[in-house]
Amino acid sequence: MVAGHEWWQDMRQKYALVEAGWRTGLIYRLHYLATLLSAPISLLIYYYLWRAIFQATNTTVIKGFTLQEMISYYVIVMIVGMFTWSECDKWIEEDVVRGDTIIALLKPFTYFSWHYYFELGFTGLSLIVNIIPVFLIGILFGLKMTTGIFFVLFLVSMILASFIYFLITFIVGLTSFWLFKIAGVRRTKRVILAFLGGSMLPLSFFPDSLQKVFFYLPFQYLRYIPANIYLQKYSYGECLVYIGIALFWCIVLFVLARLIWRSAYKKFAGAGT
Amino acid sequence: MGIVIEVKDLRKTFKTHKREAGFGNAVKSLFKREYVITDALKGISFTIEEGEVVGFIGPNGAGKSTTIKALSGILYPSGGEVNVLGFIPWKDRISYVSNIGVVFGQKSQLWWDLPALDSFYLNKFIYKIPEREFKERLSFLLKYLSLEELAKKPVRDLSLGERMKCQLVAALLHRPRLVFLDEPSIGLDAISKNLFRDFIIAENKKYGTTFIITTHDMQEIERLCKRVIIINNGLIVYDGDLATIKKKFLNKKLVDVILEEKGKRFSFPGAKLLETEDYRFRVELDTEKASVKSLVNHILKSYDVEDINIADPDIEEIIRKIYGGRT
Repeated sequence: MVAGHEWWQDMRQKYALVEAGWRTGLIYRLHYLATLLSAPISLLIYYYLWRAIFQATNTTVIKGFTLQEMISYYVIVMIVGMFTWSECDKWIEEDVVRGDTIIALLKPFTYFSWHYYFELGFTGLSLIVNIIPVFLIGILFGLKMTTGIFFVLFLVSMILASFIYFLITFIVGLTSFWLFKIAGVRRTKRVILAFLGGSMLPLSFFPDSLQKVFFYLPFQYLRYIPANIYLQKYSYGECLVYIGIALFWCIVLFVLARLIWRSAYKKFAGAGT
Repeated sequence: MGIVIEVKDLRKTFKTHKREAGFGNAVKSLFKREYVITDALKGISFTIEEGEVVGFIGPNGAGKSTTIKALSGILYPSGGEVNVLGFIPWKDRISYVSNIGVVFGQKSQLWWDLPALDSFYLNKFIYKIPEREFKERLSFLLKYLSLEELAKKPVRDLSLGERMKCQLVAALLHRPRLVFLDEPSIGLDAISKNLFRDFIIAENKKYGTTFIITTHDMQEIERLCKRVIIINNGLIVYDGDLATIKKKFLNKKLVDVILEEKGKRFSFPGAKLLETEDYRFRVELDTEKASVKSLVNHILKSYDVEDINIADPDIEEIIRKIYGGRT
């Protein structure tokens, strides 16, 4: 009973940060609305672009995608993108530049938790606000519901994608302890993740040799793999293998993030700025 | 009463990049970095007992904030031992920080975009404060500092002084045994300053809360602290009663006089003319040789005075004297 109470208090303590995140997010609600507007516009562009390509090449399947699957791919990538969004590198950079890192350190949390739970609330709100409208818009563009078990596998792969995305962003943010301003690094990160994650083009469009390289990188688990699981491009067995590898990357990145944080903290606390 | 803080031979050396002005040097520093070693703390030791209110004073860059940061767990010292409430602050940071309250005058520890009230409410869970205790404490603090309405506004919309009051509430909500206040009266008006000082005295009496305060405001120190620790160049140059130090070093007064009409050259036994212009002069009085009253009488009698201002010498002055006296 007493142990249960303590557990509840620990959870409530972390949830306070989640709450701070969504309350802050609520203040920027106009920003979410703007995101919502961008969804149909970019889908319209993708639709006409790919329709033109399919017509010009006079085929119905390109690299394993029909036109309808192609558009569905972009809708799913958009939804996964919202689910895995994180800007904690920006928050970390702002703290370092303003000298506000001490604020986080004066609170009874690890630096990782401090940012993770805040981000969970901040992004969580955008999810609730945006995901259903985007899904509905997607259905207008011909998106089909996926079936039972694939939906579950898709959800799992999306949750793992959000961990990977957060961890990479957190690590990028930590570099500001050495580099100070990291706007350039952040932009590079965004482009790399969008490109190698498969937001711009499905990775099957790349040469086989490159695809082999992608297999050994964590990026394709961010967008490409979850979208393909949703579109039922893999067998159950393949899905599980991919989920296993994504889990492996979560662990590797988590350990890496810890090590880098330790060294960042030493640098910060040693310099004492 | 037990010992709250024990510091032995605390040292801190900073290694900072040497940056020189100019584009050429900036490019050069990309490839070859030169470091400057600064000894911020050169080995300080002191103990503080539960229920004390101690003032940390010293000129800018003396090592006050470095000490506070090491004591609050956000700085690794280069050497020495620190024990605060049974914790080694920088090693046990997460479990330690719930036991202390910290106000950094220059930083806002509240969520910038949220109303202060939201931050207080979230602090209830962060510091695991029981519901009833939280409610009583919060309504008392808000009422005392007249923040009931202001706390509903986003922190970013508050003035510096209003924000400072909110910081104080946030630092004291969980009723910490030990509170660090680093230049807490920045931005406060005279009324708020008084309120704030009375409040600290009341907290200290009621709960035996220990306060460590750094400030440049000598009046604040006089109101709050029986004991002061003076730091200069990373060393403690004085640790003891405020009364003693005042008797020893606050025997000077600075008197500024502005005149309606030009007068004769100033001269008075026990007072030294520091500056003089046509319509103003500045005098340093040695209060052991002559009283303030006799000097003011003399000035009012001999000159056509428009304004007169009497002040204590500033803290830097006193420290320079103490430091000068030791070497």
